[in-house]
Amino acid sequence: MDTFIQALISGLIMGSVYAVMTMGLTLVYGCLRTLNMAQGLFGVAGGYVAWFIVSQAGLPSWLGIIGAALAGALLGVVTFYLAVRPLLGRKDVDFEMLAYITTLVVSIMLTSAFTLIFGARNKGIPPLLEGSLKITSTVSVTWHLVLVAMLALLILGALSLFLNRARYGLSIMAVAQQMDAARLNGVSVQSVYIGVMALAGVLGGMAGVLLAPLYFISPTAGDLPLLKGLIIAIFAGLGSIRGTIYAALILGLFEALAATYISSMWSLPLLFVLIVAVMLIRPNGLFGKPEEERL
Amino acid sequence: MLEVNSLSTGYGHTRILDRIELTVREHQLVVLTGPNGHGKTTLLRAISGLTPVWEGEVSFLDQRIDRARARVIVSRGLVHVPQGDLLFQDMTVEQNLLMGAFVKEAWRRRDERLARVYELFPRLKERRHQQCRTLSGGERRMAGLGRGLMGPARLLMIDEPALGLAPVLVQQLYSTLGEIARSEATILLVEETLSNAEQIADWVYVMENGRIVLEGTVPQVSSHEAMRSAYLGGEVE
Amino acid sequence: MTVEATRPRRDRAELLRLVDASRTPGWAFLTVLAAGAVVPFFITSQYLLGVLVLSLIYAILNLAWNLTIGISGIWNFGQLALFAAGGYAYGILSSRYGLSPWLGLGIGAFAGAGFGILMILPALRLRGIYAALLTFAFAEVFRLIIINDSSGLTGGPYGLSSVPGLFSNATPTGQQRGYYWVALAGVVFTAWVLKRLVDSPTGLALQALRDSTPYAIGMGANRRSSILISTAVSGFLSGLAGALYGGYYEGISPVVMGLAPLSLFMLMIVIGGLGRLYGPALGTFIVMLLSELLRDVDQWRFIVLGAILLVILAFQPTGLSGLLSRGIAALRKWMAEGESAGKGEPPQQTQ
Repeated sequence: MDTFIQALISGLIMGSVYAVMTMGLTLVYGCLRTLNMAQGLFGVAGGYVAWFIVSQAGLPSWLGIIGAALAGALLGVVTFYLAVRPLLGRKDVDFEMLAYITTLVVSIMLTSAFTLIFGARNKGIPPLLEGSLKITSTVSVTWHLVLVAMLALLILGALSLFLNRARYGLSIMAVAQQMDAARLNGVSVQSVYIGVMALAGVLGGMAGVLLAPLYFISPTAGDLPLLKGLIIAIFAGLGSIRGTIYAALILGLFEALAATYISSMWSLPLLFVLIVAVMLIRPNGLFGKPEEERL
Repeated sequence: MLEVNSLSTGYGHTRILDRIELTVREHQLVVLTGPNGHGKTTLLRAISGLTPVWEGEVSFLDQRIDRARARVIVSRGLVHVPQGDLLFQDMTVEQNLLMGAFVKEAWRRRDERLARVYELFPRLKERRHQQCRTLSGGERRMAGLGRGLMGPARLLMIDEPALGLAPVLVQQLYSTLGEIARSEATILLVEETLSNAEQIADWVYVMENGRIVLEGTVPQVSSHEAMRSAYLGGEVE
Repeated sequence: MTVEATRPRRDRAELLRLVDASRTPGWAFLTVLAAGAVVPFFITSQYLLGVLVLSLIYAILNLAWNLTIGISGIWNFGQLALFAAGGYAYGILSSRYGLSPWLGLGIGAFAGAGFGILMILPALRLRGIYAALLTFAFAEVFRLIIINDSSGLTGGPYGLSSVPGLFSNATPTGQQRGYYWVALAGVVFTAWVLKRLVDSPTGLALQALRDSTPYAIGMGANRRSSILISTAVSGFLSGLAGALYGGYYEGISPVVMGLAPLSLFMLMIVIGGLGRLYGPALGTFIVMLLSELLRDVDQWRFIVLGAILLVILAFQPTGLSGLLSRGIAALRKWMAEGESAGKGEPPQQTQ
């Protein structure tokens, strides 16, 4: 029973971080109908910047997180201008497919750039807090994971408030749901596009920092998180914010349970089979809606 | 207030509107009528900036807007309430209304505007925290209108408010529209069935095949030979 | 009209017919083919010839991939699993079970086709971008399964080695040349298959489905079977390419799959021309050439190639092959006008 609870706890915590990371994919898809393949690189950038701030410059961790967020935002905007903007509004292209390819290309360019700057070797960053919290005699969680969970919840909560109450946040949701009406209400769609990609960068960057102490930071460290993010996004139904949270938690739980009771290497293949099964019943994901073309 | 001169536009290679001339004066309620599919919605979209204008000019409050962006046009006080509501389905009624006040000047006064809209449409106040996809047809229409009223509207362009509504609702809606026209804003109304708007219309334009074929007061227009057709909704002598 | 005036007109007409890209004459292809076939006799560097062999193998893969992603508009991002399936099938059967390598080629091709159908079946019901994720995830999971395979069948993360090639009894030079010609034949075969398919009713249906799905279905196109055929053919050719790859390198490993190779091949296809019939072959050679030129600054490779792709897409989404077509069409137009303008007559059709 205790192993089950252990798996449950770590699964939920990881799920919450995955939710933060995937939310960037979801928001960008909702507004721009673009599947941003560079999302994983935002996390890598966040990791590197945090590493630099904390391990090299010796500054406190919270500065590392802020730095990661800023680095992510910057990369988000850069990705927009390089990969998305040149394709907007053109009738001669299949926007969705080409944007997928261009963001993919940007992601490999960034991977190369990081290799050039930081080298291909793994870098490590210490956990934000040392030690573990004992819940029962056999169940414990590292303090770092506790903090990660709290931060992830904080970020998601702040995001929810922002999207539902703030003027700019509302405009992001408006553009995602009904672009013409948004324009008729005075929203600058261009500004929302840039803002949403910067936001995705912030979310990705912070998720990168939260995950970094658990794995390593390297130019290709974003590949696996991206794959997980894509699986979550497809499972949830692209563009659905609620779906993303549920799907992320489910994936986190599934991963933890599979790792505990089967073996960690089979968790993704099994998950894939599960996803295929779900997609056969609901071809638009759990919460997705059939969309018309927009851009 | 609003002047349209020789406006022509279309989609792709198809010309929809041909040299439209139209004027709306302050405090008027002008009705644009005619059979469906003949360009009325396109005209509104061209004026509000959603669709590009090919030729001609549009002026609002003495400023040219025919090449301006939609958001600039809204900020100047020209609000377009589109056909079919185009509500933000996954947002609540109140969130939709607030989006109507997105323009900075309107945002500052959003609380009082919200109060005014709830006064006009008490049903919306009841449902303020409900998602728009759960509203009935009539409530959606109210929400769309309410959203339009939240904006800095000097001129409201409303596209087919009676669409898909039961006659009782249509009557209620139109009496509210009349009230708004008297107290709040100038209105340009698109209505396929002229008889719905007879009571409150100051001036009528009739559009057919992308051209204005007739204009005048309601009696003038109704009595004209060319109006002897079903969509007038009544006997014509 | 004087005699002098008629002669230039006739010469120009001849020239025009020569550069008419829409009717590329058979003899032009044969000349290129003949030139390509004798190349190995003029290249002494084993390294350079090796690059050419690899380019030819990749060209087969990219041409095949373009069939689904570009010509049929199928969101297929898992092609590398099909390539690898071909390589592994060939490798396992010929090294472990002693199967004849030539037979292995055929089986590799069918393995590619089989996995292709497996991959696309769940994606049939899905809208574009969901299919992209599904096919991408399919390939990734395929790769992860192999990497984690400790049974010895696939060799796990290190892959297979000591896989016999097609010409294991020949000299190293002979082997390389042999592979060059086989790969060249493979490219020609692939191009032929693609051309036949594209001109067939199925091919027309595929393009119609890509451009305007509801209309195509309304006109009687069968989406499901068209997609299956396209994927099967594409998988077959990719599996063949994979088997050639496995035999040439006498081994195969999971490193041929993953985000980096995916991106590289995407670059080749899109730079060459997504959706254009022969574009990907052009793109493959150009990108391989640039890669070689950038050997010393390997880290900059993707940055440079990526920048080129972004620029090309911004101005000419049909890639270099599209640019070439436009250039040739413009040339024709200029020649047609130049000829009659020089006489002060109104421009007229010359053919």
